[in-house]
Amino acid sequence: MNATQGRIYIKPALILFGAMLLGAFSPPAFGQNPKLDIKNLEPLAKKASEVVDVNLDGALLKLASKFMTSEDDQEGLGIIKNLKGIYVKNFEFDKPGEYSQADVEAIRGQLQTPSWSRIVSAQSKHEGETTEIYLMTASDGGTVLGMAIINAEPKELTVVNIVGPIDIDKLSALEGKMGIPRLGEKVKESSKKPEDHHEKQK
Amino acid sequence: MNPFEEKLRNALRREAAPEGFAEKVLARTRGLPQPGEKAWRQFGAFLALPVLRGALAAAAVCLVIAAGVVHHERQERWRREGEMARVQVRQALRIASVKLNVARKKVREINRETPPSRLKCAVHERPQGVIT
Amino acid sequence: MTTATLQQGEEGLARFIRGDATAFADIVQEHQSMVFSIAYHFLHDRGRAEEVAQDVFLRLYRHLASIKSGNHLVFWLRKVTCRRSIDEVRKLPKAPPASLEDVAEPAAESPDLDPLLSRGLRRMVASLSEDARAVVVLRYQEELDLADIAEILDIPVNTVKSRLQRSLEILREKFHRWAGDVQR
Repeated sequence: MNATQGRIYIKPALILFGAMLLGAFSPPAFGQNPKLDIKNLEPLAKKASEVVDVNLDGALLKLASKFMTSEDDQEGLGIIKNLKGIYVKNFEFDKPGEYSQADVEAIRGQLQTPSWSRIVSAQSKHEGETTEIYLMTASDGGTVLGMAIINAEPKELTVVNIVGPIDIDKLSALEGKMGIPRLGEKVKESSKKPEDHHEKQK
Repeated sequence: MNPFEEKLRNALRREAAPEGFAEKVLARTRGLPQPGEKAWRQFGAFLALPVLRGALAAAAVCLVIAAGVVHHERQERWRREGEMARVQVRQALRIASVKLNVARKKVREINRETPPSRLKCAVHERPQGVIT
Repeated sequence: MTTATLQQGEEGLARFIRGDATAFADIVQEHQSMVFSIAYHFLHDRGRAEEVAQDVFLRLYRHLASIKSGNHLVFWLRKVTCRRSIDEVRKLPKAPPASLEDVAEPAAESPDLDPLLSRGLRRMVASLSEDARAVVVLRYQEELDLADIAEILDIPVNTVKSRLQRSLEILREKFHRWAGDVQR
């Protein structure tokens, strides 16, 4: 093989090698990232009367788990055990119309990829409320990689994004625990108020 | 040179150094690093000086105390961050649980009672939009 | 300085740099008289002169690695000794000008006035300003020419010249007044 032929063979090999490296170190393949970009909602905080903004990555979840030592915390601890992130944006407004459909669409658009499956979609025209729940599962269809909840009400907008293997049954079963009201119960002020966020004066 | 300057030269001729002068000088050079010694050795010799040892010991004590204070502050900060993270986890789980259950309840109400466990398979069944 | 002394200095320096600890002792022995004398004629106080001289040699010990030759060594010693002596003078409050009355009355008609005269002259030199004193000591103790003095003191040659002339006028005047008193 002469020098020219050698160069011809080396170049494709290099390209292939580079591609393999990229594949090894690149983020999950297109659409496989269960973490949503919900930063576009941040400007809504200025219009909201009450805001809950949670940004917990894997490290913070680990830290939190060290402090979840009370009996009341144990169920929550079991849920977050293997999670890689919990991100929540919840806005309560004084009047309807403070957020736009475009705000919601910016989130919903990220969930239209094949890797996300909408498992629940509930709309109430009468109440003007929409709730959608999405799950991302691994290609084997078994392992849950992430979850997203979009709840849009006239005076409240909530987006929840959980990254990691969330057990939605366990999440659902938290009802009545950790200060979570059972559906149908009157919400007590003390259980609703976030400990560390903006307060709505009722 | 004129006579006056000669007198001056005579008056200012060199005098012998006091007896033992050289020994005193040599005694004072003991303990000093040899000229040409590597800087770190000189530094070592410098550190060996008793006064410096005392000063270094005091500085070391101050450092230990300062490190203790810093450590305590770090611990406090870590504790505060941990507590905040715990609060946020509870908050997030609360919201997520409520919204999930509200949605499920709505679906159940409209699509007849469906056991929560079936929702595990919902990825494949994909119950679609429910409009009331 | 004689060639023999210079050669000795070069050898001592070379030995010292090679790590021969005894070489420094030889260097001190060689130059202690020069250093002590400059300090003494400056300060007119043996105790303080000894302290200054010791200090100069300690500095030499620390800086010996930077000394390049025997000539450089001597130059360095003279320079540092003058500087240290000037600093020493400036540290203490100005002493009143040496009173010629402090000079002991000579024995009547002593045939040898030199020791007394020398002592008197030394006191007169010590009463000059520090800058003038340095010029006079380097000129008449070390027998240096004006250019060498200028280099050691780091001043222009003309300044050395003018300081020397002025100093000699003052010393002559003081000496003649004193000598006249002595002779009376």
